[in-house]
Amino acid sequence: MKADFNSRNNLSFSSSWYDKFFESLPNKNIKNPEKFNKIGHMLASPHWNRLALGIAAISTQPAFDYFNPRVDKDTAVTSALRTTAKIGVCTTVGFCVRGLSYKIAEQFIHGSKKEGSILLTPKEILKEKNPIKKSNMLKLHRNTFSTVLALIAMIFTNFYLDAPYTTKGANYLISKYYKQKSISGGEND
Amino acid sequence: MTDKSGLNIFEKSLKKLSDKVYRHMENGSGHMILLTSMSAILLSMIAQTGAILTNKNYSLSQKAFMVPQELTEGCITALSMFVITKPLQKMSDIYVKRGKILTKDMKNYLQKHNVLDKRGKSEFNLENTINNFIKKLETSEKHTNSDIKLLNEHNNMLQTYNSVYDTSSAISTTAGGVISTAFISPLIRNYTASNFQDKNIKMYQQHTNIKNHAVNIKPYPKI
Repeated sequence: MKADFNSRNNLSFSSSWYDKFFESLPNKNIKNPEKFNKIGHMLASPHWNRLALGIAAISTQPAFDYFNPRVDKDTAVTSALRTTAKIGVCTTVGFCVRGLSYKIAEQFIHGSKKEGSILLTPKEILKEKNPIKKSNMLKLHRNTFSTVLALIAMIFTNFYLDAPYTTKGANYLISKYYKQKSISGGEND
Repeated sequence: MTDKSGLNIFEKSLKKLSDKVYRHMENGSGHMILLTSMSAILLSMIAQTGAILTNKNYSLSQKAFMVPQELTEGCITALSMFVITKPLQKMSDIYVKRGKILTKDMKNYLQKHNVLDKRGKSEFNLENTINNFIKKLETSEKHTNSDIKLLNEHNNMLQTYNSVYDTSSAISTTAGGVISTAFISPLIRNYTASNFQDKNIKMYQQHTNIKNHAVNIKPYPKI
């Protein structure tokens, strides 16, 4: 089965309320296209995307856990500290694994021999004559391949790095919290 | 260890994987990236649940909360990622395709080719419009210098359009991920996990006949 890179054209939106809704939305003009595309390029790379999600998660999830009214204080604190450790470890490992996979994909998936090795470039892409279509296919293939490669690596890193280091990090934070609590005489309760 | 093609086992398996990924990239790469992200979340959930169960520093009541919390988080994040990201991706598709979001160059291009008034209309498809212009020029028998210049202009515009499309798609996918991981998932998982904690502890007390087990749970407000 051959990949269909033009499938995005096949989407049809025939519903009238849908059309009316979109027509009522304001038109937008991009003032700085270079900056806009730079952001897009970063977010489309799997490792930067993982970092963005990690930052978003660490800024809200521990707070949700700490202020959870449905559990006792100890469980809320333990849960918040474990979440902090988990997001910290998983984001760091995820960023590194995805970054490495992306580098491998970048190194071996190219459009021409001049740019580097074409070891992992599928024949169908190399045969494509339209330069715009070819560059799009290469970009899509690079991103998808690196994500799949990272997923395979993560089968191991989840068990050998993420889980044990989350436990270590959580235990460290929890012991530090209780140590501080015992020094202050449980004033925080 | 190399074979006839001069590749070692590592390179050969990477090549095989790359070809397989390409052949399964139906509907573009978005579908596969979303699927792999969901698989990664579920994998992480299994590993983290194992880590909680084997951690001796957590009390029984804490484990009774954190195990369902982890399981719910994995399932909810994967599900909400799919439910929220897909419509956002579709919205961004429509927005770009109908020309509702344009750069200054794109706006000038549409004005030059007398299609700017169609911008934002449901029947307008910017990508198809550019492709039709290109097809028209490519199929014409004679190619004058101005035709070649025009063809380059259309090709450049298609490149600009693709960049805007990719950026919008990346922003909408990330926005979907942020909404689901930072807000929806923690809210739902905490509510569900506390209910599970309550049930798990009650079940444990019934099985062990320990009425005064040190579970130390404060009554929580029912929603």
